[in-house]
Amino acid sequence: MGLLNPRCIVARGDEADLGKGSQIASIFAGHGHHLSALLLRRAYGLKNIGRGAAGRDGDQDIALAHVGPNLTLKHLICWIVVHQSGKGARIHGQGMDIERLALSQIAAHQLGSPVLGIGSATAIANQVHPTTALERGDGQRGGVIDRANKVLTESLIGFLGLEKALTHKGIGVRGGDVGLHRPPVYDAAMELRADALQLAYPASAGQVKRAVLSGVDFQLDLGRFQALAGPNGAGKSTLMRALAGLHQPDSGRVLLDGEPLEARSMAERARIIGYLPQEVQPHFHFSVRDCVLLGVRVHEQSPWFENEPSAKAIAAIDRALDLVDALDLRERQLHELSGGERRRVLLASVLAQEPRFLLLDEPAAMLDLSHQAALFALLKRLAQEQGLGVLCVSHDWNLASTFADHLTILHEAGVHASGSPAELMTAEVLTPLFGDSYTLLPRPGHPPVLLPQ
Amino acid sequence: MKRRPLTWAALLALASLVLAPLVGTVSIDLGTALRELFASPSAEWSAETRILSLRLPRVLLAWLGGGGLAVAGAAMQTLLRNGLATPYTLGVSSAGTFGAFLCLAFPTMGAFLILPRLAALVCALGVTFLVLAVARRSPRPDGLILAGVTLNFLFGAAVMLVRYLADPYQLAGLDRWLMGALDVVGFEVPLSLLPWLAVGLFLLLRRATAFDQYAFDPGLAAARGVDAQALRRDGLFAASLLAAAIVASCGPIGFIGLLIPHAVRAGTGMRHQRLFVGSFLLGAAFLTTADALARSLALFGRSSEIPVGIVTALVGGPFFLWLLLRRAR
Repeated sequence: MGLLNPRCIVARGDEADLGKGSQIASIFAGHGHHLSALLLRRAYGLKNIGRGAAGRDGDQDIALAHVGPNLTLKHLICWIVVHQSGKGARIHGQGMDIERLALSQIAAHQLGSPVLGIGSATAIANQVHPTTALERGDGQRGGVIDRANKVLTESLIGFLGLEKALTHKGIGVRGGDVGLHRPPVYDAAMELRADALQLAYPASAGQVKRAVLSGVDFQLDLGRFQALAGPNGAGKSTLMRALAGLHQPDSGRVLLDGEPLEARSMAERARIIGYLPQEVQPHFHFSVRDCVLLGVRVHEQSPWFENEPSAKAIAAIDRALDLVDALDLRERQLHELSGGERRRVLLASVLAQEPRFLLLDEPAAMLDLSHQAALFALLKRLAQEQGLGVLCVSHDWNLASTFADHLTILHEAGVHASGSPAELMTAEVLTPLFGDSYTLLPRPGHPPVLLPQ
Repeated sequence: MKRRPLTWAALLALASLVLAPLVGTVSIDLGTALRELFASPSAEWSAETRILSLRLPRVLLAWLGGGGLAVAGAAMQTLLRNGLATPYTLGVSSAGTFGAFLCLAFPTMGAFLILPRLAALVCALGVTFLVLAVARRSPRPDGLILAGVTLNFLFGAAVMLVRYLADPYQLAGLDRWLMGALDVVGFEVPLSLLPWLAVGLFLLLRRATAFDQYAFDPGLAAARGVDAQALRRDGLFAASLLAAAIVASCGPIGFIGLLIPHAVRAGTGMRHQRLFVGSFLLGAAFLTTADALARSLALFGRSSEIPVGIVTALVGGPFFLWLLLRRAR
């Protein structure tokens, strides 16, 4: 079940705990992890973790989901600690997971739970106070995260042994300076929300402005694969661009983790939200590696001159390409690739931003059936295993309803319906969109299939 | 060449800088000349040493100018997303030529501007600001390039008018400037080019990674934290600044800004840190070599040198065609 296969998880921090704001939460707030929320949800069927309360008592052995200090439901910070019988045996996959594991180990140590060989928890407690630092702005935040990373890496090495830790992708040791490749964005369960969004395109002379979105509410959660469907011109792409912060709405707001999107710098947003438009047309010839490097750059203050990308950047490129199963394309030129390969590489370049939210406009357009299915399966996996919030505009209703957890249908500049694919693939919902030009065929185990008639 | 394009470009640039002063219609014994150059007072120099001292500032000017033009061309091609863009696309060269011609053709009228080079700089910078201002107010996305092309024609016509009104005896001098004016005396001109070059290159290289994002896709660049509009504005300004200063110093030498970035891109790929540095080195080597060639060739019994602008186009043209064919393969 999932990447880490936890043997036991205890979630602490239900509604009753909200007022307590415990010690550990104030130490680690901001470092909470959506993956934990996700695993809890999947493992125990807990609903609304990350945005609401959750709780279930069990083995005290291993900990916990915890409550943030701000005492709002939104700031519930979830933690897991995974106790592995075979030490390090299952620690594979993407760089972030191992880091989370180290964090959890440290959290467990704080609680007095049994931990595998980590000695620097007190050091972390003394050095890292993200709760205060996070609110002070970007510069300090970077410093705190850097320090946290260093400590975490040391812990990780203590946990795995130096050699194993170093052979893991994404850890670089240079001149004795230990650092994880890059800090992921550490905020706890986040959400990306559109609030009563109004947007109209400027009219040409003598014409009325055409409303593209009128009062649209929308929410994208971490760990979920959501699809955005609707007839042509319903405002799907516009909504997505507004969520990415690329369209200024006429009224209404886009909120990231409760704050207006504009409160963050463009560079900071790019580390949280990855957006891939429907068409990307590089005017010049890019190599696959340079293309993915563009995503990595979001995290790097690059030096004045660099003949070759740093080892860290190359590791990040490889990791992103590996995620989309395109590592073998690394030395190729982008324009030589087939449509499917190209799509995967572009996706890798967005994943290299290590975003929390992935906004993809028609990612499967122009792909053949098997590539479409593979791509959507990958997106679902990214949501489930990496805990990304994935939003995908799709014209293919059947593809979307087969893979997505949640479907939102836009129609005439507003939200027509929103819910699980099974709930929405019905005549009541679809007839206002398509009249009698369609038919629904039942399909066992899946939502019905939409066909033209 | 494929493996280490920048190393090769650096070697070429260095070699051209060292060897070019030795090349010309008069051959020089390097040992003697250098000894005299540094040890003896200038009054005692031999003819060869005097010639070397004349060539040195000229070689330096060609080296700096060629490098700067190539970088400006690379930046323009990315920002306008057009492989045909050159440093002169926004009208810098015809405006600069107009300024210089005014002074050359009507010395009394241009007196308040003192020098043709200064007049060229003023006009070239002026047109840069004008084009950028027009583009900012234009609702069209291609407003910039159209404004540039329009002003190019406008100043082209003004240049023709100056030629028409000028004293026929001065036409030869005007044409000579138009074909490349590297024949400077003393280090004043190359040294006065330096600060402009430094500022322009600084502005471009500082944002090289943003150029990468912009080249890939301007829309995507915005989603990756690059303010595409600001980059375009600042980048075009920096590239035009380079071009304006170089036109004023060297005359409107064409082709380098178009050709060199294409050649370099084939070797370095699309990372602009490499592209800018490589373009500078190869551009410097190219113009220095072309100038050395221009000084050495004696065509049809004419012992005077060929204008460098003719050489860059005659050598660069076939090379560019070869490049096109090679990459198409």
